Amino acid sequence: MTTPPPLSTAAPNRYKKPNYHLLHALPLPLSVTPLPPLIPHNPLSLVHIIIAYLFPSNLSHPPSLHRGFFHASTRSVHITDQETIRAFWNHGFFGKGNLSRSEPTWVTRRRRALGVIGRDEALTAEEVTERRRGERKEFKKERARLEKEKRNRQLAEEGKLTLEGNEDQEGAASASSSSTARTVHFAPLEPPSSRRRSLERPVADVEDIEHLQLTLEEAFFLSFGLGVLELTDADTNKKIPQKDILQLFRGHMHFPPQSPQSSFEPDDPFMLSYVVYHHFRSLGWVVKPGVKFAVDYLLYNRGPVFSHAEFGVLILPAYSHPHWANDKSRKEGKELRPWHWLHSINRVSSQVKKTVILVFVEVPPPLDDDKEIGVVGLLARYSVREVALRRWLVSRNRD
Amino acid sequence: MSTAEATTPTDPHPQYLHNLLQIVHTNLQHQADWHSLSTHTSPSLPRPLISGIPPEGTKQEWVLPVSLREKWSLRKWAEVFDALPEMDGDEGGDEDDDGGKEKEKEGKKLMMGVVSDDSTVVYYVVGEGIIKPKQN
Repeated sequence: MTTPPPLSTAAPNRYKKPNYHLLHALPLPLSVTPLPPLIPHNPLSLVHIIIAYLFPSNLSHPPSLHRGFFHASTRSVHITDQETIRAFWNHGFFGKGNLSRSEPTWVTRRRRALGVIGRDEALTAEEVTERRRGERKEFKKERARLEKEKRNRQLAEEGKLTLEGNEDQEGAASASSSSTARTVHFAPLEPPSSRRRSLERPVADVEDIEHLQLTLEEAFFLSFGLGVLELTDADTNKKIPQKDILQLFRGHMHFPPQSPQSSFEPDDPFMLSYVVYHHFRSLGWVVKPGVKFAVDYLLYNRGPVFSHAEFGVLILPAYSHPHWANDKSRKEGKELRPWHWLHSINRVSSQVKKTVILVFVEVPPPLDDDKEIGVVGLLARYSVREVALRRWLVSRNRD
Repeated sequence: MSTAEATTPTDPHPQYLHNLLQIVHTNLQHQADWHSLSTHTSPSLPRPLISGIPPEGTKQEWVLPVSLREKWSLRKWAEVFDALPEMDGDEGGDEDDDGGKEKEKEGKKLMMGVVSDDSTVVYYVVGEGIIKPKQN
């Protein structure tokens, strides 16, 4: 009986990850119950369906809506209630912790730095990445040192280097580098400043100063699109009525911010941005801001914890309507882009194995009074066209 | 709207720039672990700036908070660089007069903290003049 060939197993996963499939089972912060099936030959099933529709056993929306605070200073909506943060992050990956890479994890990292929790307890994704990078750096240093030693030994054999002086140097070098290598392996991978801090202060529990920050588009989708979020103005502490939210957000998307009472153009940044956000969210994509990759949005299949974003979205206004035919500042200013703009963005995206999607938003002509039409009518006037882009090289792309 | 009004005569920068300053300051202090942070809002500066020391550094760095939605220009960069105090030449090697002077003019650099609406702050190192690339 032949021995089975050695299997190449991946390195044992030392960092235990939570069960993401369980944690992120719901794609949106709503609970959906399917209607009972319709059995054509049984008229009672129809009655069952009607009753289940009119008197549902569990409600889709939470009994008290989630509360968010609109801050004009950061032009975003802050969530501080832990339940709401869990609901919004776990079901749909809405928002970002303002002191973390994605999910709010500041308090865990701070507790670890102060020594309140153990070194390997409840590791966050950012810490796992940091440690993996640290280990890789050490591995590279060690490898470089071994290669240098080997090269020196080789040269010494060939007689090109004197062995005596080299050995002393080598011995000293290897002793110091191996000692540093050894100390680094056992020393905790904390930044020196936090170690300083942990010696100064007594071990006490940490107050969470982080909040979950929702962009204006995310907040609008949650409040208008799904109806699970209620907004309160942080400065006045008063609830913002549903009909005022759109004007407020449109004003704040400009820099410096404009007053909500001013009249806005149909191609103002918030409308274009929100139309695209709503479009992709309603198709089931998880949409996140893409500033780190020089794009407007990143599209995830299921979420950032499952896989990397496959697509980067760039939003471009399109002025095909005859109303804009003579508007030079728009036709030549906002519609056109230089070739190097697209080239450099595509280069950045292809380096990280993402496909760029150009999304053209057809801008409708302005209305005389867009307050009468309502938000749904306003959004229905826009249409969206996507173009996927891939750089094609004659020598490389044969198929 | 109150956000557009200036604050006091000794601090002529509008409120929205102060907000940016606050966001970057919080980010540097709690997320990036910088220390010895201080804000500079004097009227001589075209925009408020932050200075501080990174966790593994020894030298003070300047940080310029900027919004992703702003239209930035070469002129604005030039104004900020001109307003920065001269860098003290603590580059060890070069002690020659002409070498030192040239290095001072080239050596001015700052970090731009670009603030996005979702609270991400992206940092870029910007230098005045031609910077020699690092040896590979």
